[in-house]
Amino acid sequence: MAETLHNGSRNGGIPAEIIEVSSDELLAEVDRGARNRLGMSGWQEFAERYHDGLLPDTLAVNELGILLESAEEPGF
Amino acid sequence: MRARKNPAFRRGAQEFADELSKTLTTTISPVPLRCRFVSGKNEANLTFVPPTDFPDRRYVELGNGCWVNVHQRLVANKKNPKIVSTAKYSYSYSLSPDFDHDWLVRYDYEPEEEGNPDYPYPISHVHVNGVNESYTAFMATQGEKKVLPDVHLPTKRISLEEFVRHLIVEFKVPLLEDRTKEEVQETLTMGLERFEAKRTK
Repeated sequence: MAETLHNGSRNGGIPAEIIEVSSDELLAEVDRGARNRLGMSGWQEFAERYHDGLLPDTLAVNELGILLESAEEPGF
Repeated sequence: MRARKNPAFRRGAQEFADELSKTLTTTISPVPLRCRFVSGKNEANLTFVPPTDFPDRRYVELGNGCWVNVHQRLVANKKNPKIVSTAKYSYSYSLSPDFDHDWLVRYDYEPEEEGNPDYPYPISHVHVNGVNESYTAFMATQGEKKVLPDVHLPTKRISLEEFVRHLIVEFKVPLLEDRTKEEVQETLTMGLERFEAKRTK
């Protein structure tokens, strides 16, 4: 479950809500999107086809791709 | 591999997320951004805060009944990890809540593809969800079936402020009720100046 670390508002606009999530939570979101928006079997199928360059550059592919990259990035 | 803790990245990413969120919530969006830090990594994902009943919805309805999405991936700069870099962004505008079908424009920035021989497209590009029968017929003669919305039209890397201004000017997106045209103009101009001063690429 995401943990809310900070939230608030000011007259000069509303600052970003800050939360921390796990890679698994992002992959779960990719999984739902791959099933619901692309008719795939899940995030693994999406990841395989995304990395192999087999998917067209559509709105859904792009959005799910950003999440996938965040989840998979090993850091340095 | 877990990334080393990098408080400078966290501070920088939060500051950047706050700036973008405040820009949006003082111009056209009633909803702020959410910055999701990924545990164990120097990685953050920026999107709008979703409604509680639609936790995966990233689009926000604007005053004209259209919808906007801001999605940005932030990472620690590879040369100087204290600096926050944008690894990817996608700003899009949809004419209805059926985003996958009714999106109109999408500005993408993919700097990590620079130099990738398998990625021949401009790293900053715009997609337009349009139909042009002459284009379709011509491309068919070339043996190409790529539809117009999949074409990567080159553009420069645009700031969020330029995208917001574009929506206001071209699509008549209304300003938030308590904001004057002058206030919004000032917000966007100041934000654009910050963007130009801070960007690393």
